[in-house]
Amino acid sequence: MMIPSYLSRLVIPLTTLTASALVTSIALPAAAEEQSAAAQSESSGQIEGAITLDTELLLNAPVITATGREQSRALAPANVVTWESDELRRHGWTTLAQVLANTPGLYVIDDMVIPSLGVRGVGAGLRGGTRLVRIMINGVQVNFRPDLTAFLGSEYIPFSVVERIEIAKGPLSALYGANAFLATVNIITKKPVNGLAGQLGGNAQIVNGNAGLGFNGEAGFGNEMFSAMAAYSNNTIDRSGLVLHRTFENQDPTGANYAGFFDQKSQNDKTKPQSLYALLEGRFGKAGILQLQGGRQALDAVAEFQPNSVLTHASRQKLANNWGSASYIYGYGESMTLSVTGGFSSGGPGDGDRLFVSSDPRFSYTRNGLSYNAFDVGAAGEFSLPAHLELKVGGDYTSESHDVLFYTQRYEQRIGTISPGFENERGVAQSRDLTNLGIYAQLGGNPIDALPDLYVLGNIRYDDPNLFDQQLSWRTGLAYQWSDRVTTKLFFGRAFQVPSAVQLFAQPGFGSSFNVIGNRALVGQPALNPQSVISAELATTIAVSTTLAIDSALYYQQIRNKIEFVQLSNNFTPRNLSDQDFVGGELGLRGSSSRFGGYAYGSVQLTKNENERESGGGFGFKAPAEFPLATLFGGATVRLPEAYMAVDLTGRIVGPRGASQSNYLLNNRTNYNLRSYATFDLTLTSLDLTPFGEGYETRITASARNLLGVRYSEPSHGGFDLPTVGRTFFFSLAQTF
Amino acid sequence: MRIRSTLSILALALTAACGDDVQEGLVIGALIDQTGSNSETSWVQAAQLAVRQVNEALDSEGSSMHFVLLPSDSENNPVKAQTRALDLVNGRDAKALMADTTQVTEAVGRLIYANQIDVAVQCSSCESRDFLNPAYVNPGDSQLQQVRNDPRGTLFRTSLSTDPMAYVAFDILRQLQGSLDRNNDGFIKLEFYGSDEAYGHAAVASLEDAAAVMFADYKSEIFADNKFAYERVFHAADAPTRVNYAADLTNLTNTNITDPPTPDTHSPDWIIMASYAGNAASFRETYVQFQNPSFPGLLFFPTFRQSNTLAQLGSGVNATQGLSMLVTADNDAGSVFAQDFQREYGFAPHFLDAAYYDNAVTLMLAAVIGGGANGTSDNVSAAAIRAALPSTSAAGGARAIPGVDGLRTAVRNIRAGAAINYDGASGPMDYDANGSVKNKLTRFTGVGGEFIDTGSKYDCIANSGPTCGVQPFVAP
Repeated sequence: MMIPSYLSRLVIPLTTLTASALVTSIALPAAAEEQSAAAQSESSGQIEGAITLDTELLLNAPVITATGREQSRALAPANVVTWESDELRRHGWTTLAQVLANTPGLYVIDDMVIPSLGVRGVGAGLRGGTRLVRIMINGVQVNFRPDLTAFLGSEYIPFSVVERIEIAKGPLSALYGANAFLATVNIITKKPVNGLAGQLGGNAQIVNGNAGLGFNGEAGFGNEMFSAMAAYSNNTIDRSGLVLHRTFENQDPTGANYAGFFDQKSQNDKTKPQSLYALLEGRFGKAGILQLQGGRQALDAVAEFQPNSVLTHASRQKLANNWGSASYIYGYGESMTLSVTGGFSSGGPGDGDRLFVSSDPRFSYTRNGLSYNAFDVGAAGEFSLPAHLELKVGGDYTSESHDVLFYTQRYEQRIGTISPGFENERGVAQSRDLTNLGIYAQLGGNPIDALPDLYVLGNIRYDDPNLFDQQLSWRTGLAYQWSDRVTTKLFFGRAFQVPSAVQLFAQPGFGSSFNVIGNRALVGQPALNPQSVISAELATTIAVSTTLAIDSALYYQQIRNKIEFVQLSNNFTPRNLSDQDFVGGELGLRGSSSRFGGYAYGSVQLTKNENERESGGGFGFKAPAEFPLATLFGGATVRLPEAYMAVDLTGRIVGPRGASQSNYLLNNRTNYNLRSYATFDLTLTSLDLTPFGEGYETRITASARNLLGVRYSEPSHGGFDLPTVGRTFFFSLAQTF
Repeated sequence: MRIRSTLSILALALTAACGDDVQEGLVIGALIDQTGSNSETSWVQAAQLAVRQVNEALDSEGSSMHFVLLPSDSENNPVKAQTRALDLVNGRDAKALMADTTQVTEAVGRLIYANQIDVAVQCSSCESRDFLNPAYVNPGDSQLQQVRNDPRGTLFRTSLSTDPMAYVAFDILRQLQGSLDRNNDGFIKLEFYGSDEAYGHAAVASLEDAAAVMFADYKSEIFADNKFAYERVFHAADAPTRVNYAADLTNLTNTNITDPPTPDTHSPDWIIMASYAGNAASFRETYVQFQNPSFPGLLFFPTFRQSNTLAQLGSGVNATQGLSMLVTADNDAGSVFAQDFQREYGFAPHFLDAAYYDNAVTLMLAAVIGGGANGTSDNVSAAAIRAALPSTSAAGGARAIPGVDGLRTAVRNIRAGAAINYDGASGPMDYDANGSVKNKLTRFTGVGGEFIDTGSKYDCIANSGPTCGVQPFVAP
């Protein structure tokens, strides 16, 4: 069955539960053509599996995240980085955290439970997770709503189903709503189209000398009308043996805040992420496209390095997140398309979620609440207008019901007259609703006949969150393709984000200090306002040759009212921070030939903070809080088809990272930076290894990460900075069918 | 390693390129607990507000004097406080020091005695009655004695002594229950529970002395007939996580009296606790966990009334009772400060914010007085500030209140050679001969996750006698 031509250029941004995922399904014929082209290139002597970058792909590789519709990367009105599945495999990356950690302008700090993601000088802060960034699967926002964070480990999605990851830097609230604050990440999954296909695999890894195992499987079936797929992954990783290092002067090992910090190693430090994902899609020609997808993300990690719970060897965080979405697109003729979406998600702590306070085994604590149910609906229409313009209008509504976090204290020992097992509720069960109504419009195209290579775009979006003032987001962009090789883009935008449910309502009760307490759970706090960003960016892509491209970006972003948990006395409460401005630049090289491929990216930003911590007041090369002053990433792949193997070397050189507000305070208001470091990873992957015949590829990956075994610390809170794992070995074996 | 070194050099070069700007001006060191057992973040904010307002007032009056506040974390730890006081005064040229608790201020005082620093030190969370009492003798501690007796006057405070608090505590108990015999066993038994350091001991001593006065009329019936008793209990002066409150609770609720040794078989009626906020909140948690209908009632001294307590206890703060100074003075001075603070920070002042604001303001006004008409940031000595501090509230001087306008008036008068009388955000800063001030007291109650004033106020300013106007109990 043929897909109507109008659908092949259709993508509808459906915000919270966008159906932009359908792009890939809509683009299936195109994918089939690419496969055909790949087959032709193979017959012409090129190597299968090689990255076939040429000027066309360097400039015009399709991306969808920047506008919600398929568009060439060079013209997309956002700074978009893409990682194709082949690249992911060559680099040996198996989690979203690893991908983001190697993306210029982003920085991941792993607290061994939920990594946090900073963007362009803006650190996530305590319990930040991925709150600054909207993370989607096929255009559907998938995150744990109480904290507005995605799980970045392998619990997020079985990585074998990933076709491409797009990372659009810059504010995109005007398109997606509140959480597309500083960047948007979109995972595009594979879709089977040629009968039965799948993969079974297993992996082993050695971290700090501890062995861990995992397995994954996926199976799918598809044809022109129909795609169905399910995948599952399950891993066990043991990080035990990590030690905290003294990183600032005021860490007094004899002090109450630091008891037991520096004289022991992490124990039982296992994480057992599980992930389930399923997709069902029907393409019914003129009757439209229906897509159903969903998944379960199960986070299960021993938490040795959390504020107030350091090296207890028993704290364990278990969270589950379930989600599902449905979307339907219908086209009326060539000039109008309508779509509707709906979805739900829910999550909360699982059985076995249990925390201990540092150096106090007398009590354990369970997290009550911290659970939610969310429903999202949306509708949108896209219209072709005269003058080569496309108009999209739509609206969406989100309703979240949150059970507020509070703790139950359980006696683990007899204390006085109280027997072990006695439970004491340290808070009050409460439920709070968060809703948001958004309407938006996007107008873009090539309206000037005299300048057919000029692309213009404008977005505007109005949001009405129930607990805060109405918000207006906007974006405008210009892109001009000077020639086949050179494109320049200029875009401005404003985005916003409201506080998370935890930031608003969380109650204390986990021990007596270093609690995270919601703004509205503590009387006498300044009212928390949404945070906002206004950003401007100039980006240029130059294809120097058919095998080499240069990307550059200069940006300015102005953060206002940044929301962050700050330490006030002995606890953490969210506050709107003072103004933060950033001027930064990114420069990258990408290249590929039939045998070699590689990239190199560098980024640096100047920071201006209007706070007492930085008395200078002007822009300067200062390591921002919890973000590197500068980074340099690089990778090179050599393909050795004669040996059925590719060799990949990636490196990261990371500049100093500024201390968190908490540790700055605990260091008697004295700034300090975590030292620079460099890490290198070596990965060997099999190349077109088909011992069981054509179509049955055996995929082998052997990776040594952090080859030099460099130990460094990452910014954290509550009196310590995070240790990192040293040299790690990873081996995986998978068989496709 | 070479890569690492190269990176480090690059990073250092980048960092050095921008450097840290240093603000110039007369430095006031603020040795205030920000992360310890008695911390309250807004105290530093209150002092910063004071500095901004005084600087604005100075600018508008054409003065070249300018102040810089350097906060440093005392952690409510005497040893660390000494180190940081030395750094502030000798390393960063602070001309005067703000301080917080009794134990911290006493520790800094020892530096003065040892001639390691020589500045005025003014505290705002230091209610110990003995702290500024020249007549008090610390057994075996001549250093503090000599600091207290320093004829130049080195130690000051903007908070009230525990002596009047003790009287008010008894009166509040009377209000709460009608009789102090809460368990109606015909016997009044009180538990005085303090931290094992200067503040806790002073508060317990104040309670003991007040009890003798308050129950004087009962002597024949209670003391002589053995119908009144009290017990002293002290918890370790340590971080809240290290104190065994459960054991203390056992001592505080059983029928024994260990200190002073007294044969007794009665159950206690009330526990009056004087300790730092973190310790008091942790004890409250233990008290609730072990809750028993036969437990004595619980009344807290002012340190409990901190937002850190609210953060620690959450809804567990509800129904708690205590006594404290007013959050802000109940006059125009208090109102102006409260409005300015709210406008600046977006929330109402917390407990003792006003006292820390007054602390900073008086030190700065003293510097302005010490500098005379042509004073600059560079020509005012620490000794001049110390000498001028009592003159910030000269009897008969022109009244000055918080806020830029009020401070502008004060600056103008000072530069004109006129005397001023600063009426502070927390109350009048009328220093007595020992460098102490008087405030009003009130009863507070935990309601809806916050503390609110309940009951009548006790005017320890107008009633300047030792009992703060509280009348002793009259025997029936």
